[in-house]
Amino acid sequence: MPDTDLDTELSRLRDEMRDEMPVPGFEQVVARHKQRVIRRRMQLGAVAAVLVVSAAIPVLRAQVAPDEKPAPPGGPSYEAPEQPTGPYVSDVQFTDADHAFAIRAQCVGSPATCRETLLATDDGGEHWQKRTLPRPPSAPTWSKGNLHTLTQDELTVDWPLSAALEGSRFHRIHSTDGGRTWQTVAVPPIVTDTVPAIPEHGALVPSCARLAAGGTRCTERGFAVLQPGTGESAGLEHRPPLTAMQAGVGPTPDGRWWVVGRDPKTNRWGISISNDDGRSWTTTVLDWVEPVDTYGWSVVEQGGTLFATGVGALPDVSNGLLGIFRSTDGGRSWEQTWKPEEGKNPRRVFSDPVAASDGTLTINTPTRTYQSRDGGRTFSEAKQRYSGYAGQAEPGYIAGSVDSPENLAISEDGVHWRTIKVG
Amino acid sequence: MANGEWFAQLYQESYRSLVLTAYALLRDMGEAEDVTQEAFAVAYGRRARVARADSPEAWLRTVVVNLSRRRWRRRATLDRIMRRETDEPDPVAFGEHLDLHAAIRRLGHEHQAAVVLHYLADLPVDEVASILDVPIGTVKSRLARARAALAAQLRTEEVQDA
Repeated sequence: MPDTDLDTELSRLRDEMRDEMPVPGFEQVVARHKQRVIRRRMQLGAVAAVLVVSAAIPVLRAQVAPDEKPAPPGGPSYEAPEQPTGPYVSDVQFTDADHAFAIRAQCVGSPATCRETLLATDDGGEHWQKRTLPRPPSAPTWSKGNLHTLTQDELTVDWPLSAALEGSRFHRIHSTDGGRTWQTVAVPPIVTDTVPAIPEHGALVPSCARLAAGGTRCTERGFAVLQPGTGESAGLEHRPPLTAMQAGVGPTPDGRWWVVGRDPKTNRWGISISNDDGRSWTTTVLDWVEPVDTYGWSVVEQGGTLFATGVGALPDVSNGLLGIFRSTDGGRSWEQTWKPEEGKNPRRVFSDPVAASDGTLTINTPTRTYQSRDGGRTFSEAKQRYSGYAGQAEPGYIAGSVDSPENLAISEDGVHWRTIKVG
Repeated sequence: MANGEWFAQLYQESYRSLVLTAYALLRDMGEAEDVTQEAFAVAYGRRARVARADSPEAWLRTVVVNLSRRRWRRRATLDRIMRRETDEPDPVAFGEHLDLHAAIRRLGHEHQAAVVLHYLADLPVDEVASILDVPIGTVKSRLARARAALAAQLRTEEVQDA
């Protein structure tokens, strides 16, 4: 074959490969980034516990850099291993004050290879027993199981099978005897069965709302009802009128379920609240122009007041706190109480804020803790009560402990915390 | 341009070329797509820094190359541990040029990487040299030998088809 013919053929092959190569939706990049952030948040939660202990030394504390320190300039280099080297509690869920399951993980190497142990307690975390946790061979080495505790004997664990948009493909196992025996549950990429309401002990879990042509990639995130008894996923008959939805796993202490998503007409964010286990939803579109893409939301409640926080990557910090919204009428209306401004703290957020029974709203950042006494309008630096990660769940709040990555801090009211050792 | 829009545009414009870069190193289109997605997810979290880079695409390409090398090393280590033969992944069919694509895949790894990076990912020789960590002269020599091998293979197939 003459040289010119070969050149022509190579050019044609190049054009053909490019033309036929599908470009996944950009939202998949954002979702994948979010997934990385969530993984890092969990990992950093453990690391932060160690940092906090170090920070107790006054000399060191004086040298702690502020959160708002911009990322150092430099050329491209892939980041250092993100995983803590020692074991840490990667997931824990209580069903009541006494019963809980926890996953303790240890990830080593880069790329990480994770090992996990399932633990159960029936005395509020005083003692833990090991249970079986058959990790599926198809799970990537870096993936960690997401625990969903339905009752004191029933739980599921989901392993993501790819780093693509969450909910698109995962392997689920289900146990009804406290993790002694397991069954694999088939979860279709798109859930088509529906239920009229979220059943007692049910949960809302990530799911895929829309698949790209070809059916292998998820292009829109959504949520599904995790059903007790079978461990299967189902859609809700009456879903909030939003797209790209993120749902709270469980109800707030007042029994409200929440979903945040985009209003299909305006593309603005809206918050849907259900007071009747998902049979109907009250949706309010926020009068808010997000400063950058918001990739994560959390909604917490204390004493009938709801707080929603949006998280995104600000130009100078990751996990930037983009806004705090407060509702005192059960989610019918929302008032923005906080927006990011240069030099105003907190600039980042590590996880769910903690709305406490004393009326304070606490936000943890990787190095500092900030507290508001006026509903999230102003914040001042506060004494750290718990480590980086915190989430509102039975029995109130669960957070990383400042003592050790293997311990947890739990609080029923957000004010008084106790430490439990896991394992 | 609104915040974030430029990044989405960068994604649209450079995704395919970056996939082909990863493909040159990994020889598996599925893995190449996955690595490229991961690189964009990394870059998205640092887009302020990417925006300041002289060439955002070059920034991303470095991440793609680093990730691909890691992926390749991991795969090689696993293969060694599992004592398994490295099966070549099934080639992805590309329309009318199956023969040429198959011929490229039959080249040795070094020659194949040079051809894919230069002719399919459309990278200049100096950039190919930088990615493969070899002198420019070595790249030119590999390209020349690869072209000769491709021409010979395709000639043979033409004769057989005749």
